[in-house]
Amino acid sequence: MAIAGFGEIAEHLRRSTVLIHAGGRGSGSGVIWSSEGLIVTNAHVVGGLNVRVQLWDGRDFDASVTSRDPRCDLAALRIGRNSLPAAHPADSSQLRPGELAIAIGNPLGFVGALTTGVIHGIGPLRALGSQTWVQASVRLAPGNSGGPLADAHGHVIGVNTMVAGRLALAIPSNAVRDFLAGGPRRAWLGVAVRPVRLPRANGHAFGLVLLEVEPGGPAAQASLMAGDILLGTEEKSFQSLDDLAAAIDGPGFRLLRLEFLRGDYSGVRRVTVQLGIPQDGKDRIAA
Amino acid sequence: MSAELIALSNALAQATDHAAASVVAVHTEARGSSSGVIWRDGVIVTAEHALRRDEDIQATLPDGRVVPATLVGRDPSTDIAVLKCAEAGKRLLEAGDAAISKPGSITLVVGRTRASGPVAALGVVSLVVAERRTSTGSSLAPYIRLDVGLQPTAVGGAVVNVYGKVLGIASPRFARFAAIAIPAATIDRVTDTLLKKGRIPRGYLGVALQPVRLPDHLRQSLQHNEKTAAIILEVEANGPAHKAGILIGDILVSLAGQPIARPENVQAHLQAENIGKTLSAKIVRGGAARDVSISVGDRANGGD
Amino acid sequence: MIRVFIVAAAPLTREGLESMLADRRFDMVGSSADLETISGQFVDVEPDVVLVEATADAQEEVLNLLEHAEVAQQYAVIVLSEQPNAAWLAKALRAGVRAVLPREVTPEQLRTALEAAVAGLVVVHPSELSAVLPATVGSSAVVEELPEPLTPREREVLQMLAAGLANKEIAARLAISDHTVKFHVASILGKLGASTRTEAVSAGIRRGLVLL
Repeated sequence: MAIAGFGEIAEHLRRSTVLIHAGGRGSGSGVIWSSEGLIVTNAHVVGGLNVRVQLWDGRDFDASVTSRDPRCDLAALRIGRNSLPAAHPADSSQLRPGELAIAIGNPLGFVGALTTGVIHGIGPLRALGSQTWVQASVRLAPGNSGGPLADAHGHVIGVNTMVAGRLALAIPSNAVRDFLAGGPRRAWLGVAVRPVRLPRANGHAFGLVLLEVEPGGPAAQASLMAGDILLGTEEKSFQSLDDLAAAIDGPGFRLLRLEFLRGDYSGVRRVTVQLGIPQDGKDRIAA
Repeated sequence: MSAELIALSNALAQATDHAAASVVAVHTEARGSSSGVIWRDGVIVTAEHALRRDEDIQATLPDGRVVPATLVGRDPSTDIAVLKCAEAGKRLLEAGDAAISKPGSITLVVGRTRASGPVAALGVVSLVVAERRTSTGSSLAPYIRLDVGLQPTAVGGAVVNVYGKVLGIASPRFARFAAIAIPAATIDRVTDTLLKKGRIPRGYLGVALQPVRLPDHLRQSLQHNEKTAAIILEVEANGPAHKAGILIGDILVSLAGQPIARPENVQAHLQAENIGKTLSAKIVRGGAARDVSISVGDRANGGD
Repeated sequence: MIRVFIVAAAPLTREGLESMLADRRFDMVGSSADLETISGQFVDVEPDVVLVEATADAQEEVLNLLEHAEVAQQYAVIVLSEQPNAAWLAKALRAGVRAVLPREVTPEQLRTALEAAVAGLVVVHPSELSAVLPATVGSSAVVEELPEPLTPREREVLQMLAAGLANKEIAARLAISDHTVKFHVASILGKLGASTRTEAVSAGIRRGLVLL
């Protein structure tokens, strides 16, 4: 890659990165996602407070937090400005380990600092839940949070969020796209299950026994309890754990009819579960 | 040095020498070893947890020869493994009277290493209790805890008292930060069973379980002081639990009046003595508590 | 000497904490009523560990401050808190906090936690353990799912190991070679993270893979 080419890429990235001050308590970074003034950053950078955004050229603006989801740690801000130098997001699912990775941020107060490394991997990390992370061997410092992780073309493939050991973890750009679209958040049933083989007599060979039902979750609200054995939906018997995941996955509010066994299995029971209701106490303002 | 100290030192060395004639090194790999005691003619007893393999076991005998030994069987619940080794020769050690061991009684742990021959550690009995049950329900009688520095190579070695009689074999198991003497009486019982049957009979219910959290309201109404109970995930067809009417999804809360928090608690009720006994069990089914009776089967018959 | 900076709203609390730490291992280098006003002071005073009290009503704010200023990434931070809920705890640990301790912690526990935190360890009080252990859909909240589950054949072999059968006997019963049995046993040990057959059986029992 020609040095001049790299310089241009870096410059463009720098200009699409902003410095964010939330209530005067130190800083983080953000990515100009659209030229019309939409900025993306981590939820933990803004904390829902009044925010000031500083552009690459030093200009300073008030920003309003238009949506914030602590669960996926993303927030969207708006500043009253258009024709901004926006970043170019790319499809994070096309990333390959070993590809060049570039991070821009405002670490320790230095504006527009650039660090490079390579993509280490793309996928979930056991200790950090089930979501996919873009993992890069790039050194981040405080202040890089919320800033862009880009590929060799300078296209943004992630939003830098945290450090795990020597790896930088970024939320994939595809997840940012989903967040901005207002969903789909992974629908949630609020249970822990385990596959079991059932005695043939019931006509069902396979079931998912509930090990735990989270209080207040959709399953608990439908009065499901530990020991109940899920057999399937009205349309389809579950043959595997994936079948349950597929049945509950999907955006928005819906009803799901489940068939299950309880107690002495004296008959297949049915229950309707409400999926997709936002949880109480979660900080979520519709975009 | 004073005469008394010299006499004590000589006596200890002599006692070690005497015991060492019955102690072998046991090894299964190129490096490392533990110890074992010639418990019967041609039979070596060693610490089960230290025996890493079932095959290619060798013993270094008191005369220095290295000979093969074959595994007869293991009993992890008492940490005893029994090996056959014709070349090991006759039993020489006499069993000590467990009743005379008291806190403060001097003991020697005598082991053997491959390269350096006999090894000795001096300690005292720190605690004696007539009987203690392990978490899997086996009985150690008496339970003799030792205050001694036990080297890994000496694990399985002979624990002898000042009369030169053997109290048991040394093991770090069943005592948090100390060691115990797996008692001679227990070793006799387990050795006889293993030599006769090749394994220790265990009770059997025919269920697989895993821990689950019990909701607070159930814990309170059942007066279950543990945070978890055990949910039934599998019931073997025609096994004891199946015959008792137990179903997948049932949550086992107590067995024989004892709370069940995790599967290991069930194991504690499955010692050989309970085979054929009927145990009462409390389960939660569909949110309601229920009592059932299970007749404990013999693992040898079910569960292969 | 471990340099300690104390952040607590009430002067009485600050004094109380100072006296709990009056020990030759610790050096009080400063104290303050809240995190906001002191970030500048830190740079001057360079503490090894910052002890922050978070009362119930101030918990969210403390967390925001910690996450935002990324204090916990630069200094070892220990938070003393009243009954943190699981979500708060997880966020605090993710923000880099080294320990979250309940207010009822004993002086000796506090001192030990400070030393552990400075040594780079994370300290969790037993009362908070259940909040820290992961729970996700599809796996048990109490027993973690195996990264690689056992095959049906491996479960059969594990059941026989639990019955105390030796390799030869297992081979005979399953009509396979000794060699294949050893292969299965090795795979089982690996998947269950066990170094001996006995450990594998215990692990299997705990996970509901072995019939008792």
